[in-house]
Amino acid sequence: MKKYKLLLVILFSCIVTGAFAQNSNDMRLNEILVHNTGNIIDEYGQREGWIELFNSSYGVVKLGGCFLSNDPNNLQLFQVPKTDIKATIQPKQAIVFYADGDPTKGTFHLNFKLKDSDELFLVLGDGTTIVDHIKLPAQLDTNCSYERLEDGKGTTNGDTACWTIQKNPSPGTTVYRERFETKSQKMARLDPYGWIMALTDMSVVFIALIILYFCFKIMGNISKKKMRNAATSTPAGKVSAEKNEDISSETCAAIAFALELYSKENETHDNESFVVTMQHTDRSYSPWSSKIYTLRKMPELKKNKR
Amino acid sequence: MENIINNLRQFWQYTGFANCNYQYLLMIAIGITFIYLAIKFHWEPLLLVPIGFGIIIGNIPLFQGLNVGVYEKGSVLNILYQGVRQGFYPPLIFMGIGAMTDFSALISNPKLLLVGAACQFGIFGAYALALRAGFSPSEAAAIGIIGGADGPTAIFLSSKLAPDLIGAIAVSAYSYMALVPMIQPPIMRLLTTKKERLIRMKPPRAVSQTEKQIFPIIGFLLTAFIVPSAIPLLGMLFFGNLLKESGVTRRLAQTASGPMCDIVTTLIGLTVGASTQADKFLQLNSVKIFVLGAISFIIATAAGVLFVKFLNLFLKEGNKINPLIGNAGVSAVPDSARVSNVQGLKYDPNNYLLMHAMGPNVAGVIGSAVAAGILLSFFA
Repeated sequence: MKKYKLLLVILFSCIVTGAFAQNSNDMRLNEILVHNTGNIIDEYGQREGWIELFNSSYGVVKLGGCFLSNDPNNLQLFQVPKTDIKATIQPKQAIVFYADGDPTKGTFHLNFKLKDSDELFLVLGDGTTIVDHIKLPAQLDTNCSYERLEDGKGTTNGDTACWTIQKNPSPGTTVYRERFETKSQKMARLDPYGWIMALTDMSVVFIALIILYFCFKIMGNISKKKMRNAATSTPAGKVSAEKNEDISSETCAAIAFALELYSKENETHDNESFVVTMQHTDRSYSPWSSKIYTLRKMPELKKNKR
Repeated sequence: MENIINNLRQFWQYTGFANCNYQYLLMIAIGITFIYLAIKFHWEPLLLVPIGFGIIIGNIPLFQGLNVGVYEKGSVLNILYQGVRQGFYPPLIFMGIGAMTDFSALISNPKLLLVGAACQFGIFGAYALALRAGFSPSEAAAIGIIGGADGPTAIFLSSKLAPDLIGAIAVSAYSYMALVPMIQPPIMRLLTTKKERLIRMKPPRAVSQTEKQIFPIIGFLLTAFIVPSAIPLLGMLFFGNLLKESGVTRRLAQTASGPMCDIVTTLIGLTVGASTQADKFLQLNSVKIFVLGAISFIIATAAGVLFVKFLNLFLKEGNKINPLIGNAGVSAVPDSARVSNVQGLKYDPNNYLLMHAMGPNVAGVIGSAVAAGILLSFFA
């Protein structure tokens, strides 16, 4: 029983851990625009450079307390207000910060401006752990952004292989390519031979059915124990409990035969719903009903010869 | 007189004779062949008769605008076809299947669930091959599901991912399900030794009614939490089974497994058949789908048999599984289980495998619904 309790505890922990596992570590620098003359306007009617952050997880992330910086020597340059409810980001959603150097304008206005070749840092609330960083290209054209090839995907160590220059910036929405790409097209690009999909899906199928297996294995063991206990609790039941464990081959054969007949519709079985039976055959003669065997014989009179 | 002749001439243009070409005739011949196979050889008659006649209905050469064709919006056939197109017939059939399926074999020996999982290799093998054959990933996913050997699931998934291919996928899936007794035995023989075919399995233990009642609830909760996109199929399957096992909804279970399932099966067969109009069906893609369907069936069967052999490496003597039940992991219920039994009896006239084979068989139904759910969540 201890084993089952342990399993339940593990299962519960997994669920709880899974539910609360999402945090600021899942945030990514996603798209950056330095020179803005024809792109989005902030709530004050100004065009400024901006930084888009993306929640790459399937959980809600509270960004409050995290830092953004363009200075490697001062990672705590700008802190997102800790208690601001607007800094809560839904799964797979993006948020835009305006780099206008005026934080008094609101939560999403940074206290620094962007320049070419800046190195940007996203830092956790402890002020030291770098979640993501990227160095901007030396020369970014006006109204061109620097974005990840795929939303939130790729390395976080400053490697620029998963970044590209985009002539059609998309602040606050998915990256340009993904807006016009169907799931099928994306899959064709990422997994042209289908092996990744095949392996992923087979793993999920197996995991689902393995969980079911363990569940019913445990349930079966409990049920077996219960049946045994119920039977052995009565003195006469001890023997029958052992017998009940297995079904005899003859019973299996009879069931199999009945199923075979059942599958051949309207053949040798009668039509009782939910009951598989073999059709009863009327016999005109049976020794069980024969009068010869049920009646006593008349006593014979034996006469002694004298 | 001239008016009468003109009218007759005009009427002639409405007739099937005037609009006929060899493609329609070929499709009608295919429909008649289906009906012949069902009546003469009893190959899945409940499916092949409606599909066969549906093919004939769908391939009567029509004068467009009469508003009677299956693709003409608002026509009777089109309204009936919405059950396929919108995907609400398959879950209803799943409810019927749940209400008529006894999961005891699976509950008594839950490791057979893994055999059902292994057979889903057919789906993903066919998916990879379909990509190579030039289909888009969502079309490939819809084609791959033929390997699950589950007609309703194939229709459900293709209605969502590749509506243009529903006809070819459904006909292919049902045709191969009918051909299970021909496709599977050679593969089973090829992959097993005589000694393995003679393995006698431990008789299944008795399953209490409480276990049977808990099964659909726990089974649904676990699978639906992992693959929520499969809820329409899994939900209806387990709900149907709960109706059967609860013991207090006998009438509902009877209706779900009897009249309702029959009505939906008839309609799904007829409308799927009718959707195979020559101009949409007789294409190179349909041929490719048939070839890929066959390959997926072969992969699924082989994967099931080989997985049982693999599993046996870890099982003690006496607990070993006869690999002849591995094929039953493709869901085609109960045909593939029957094939296991027939093959088992061939090598040992007293070795009845039907009960054991029903385990992987029903596990295959769950497995293919889960696989469909996964594909749906990636592509829909």
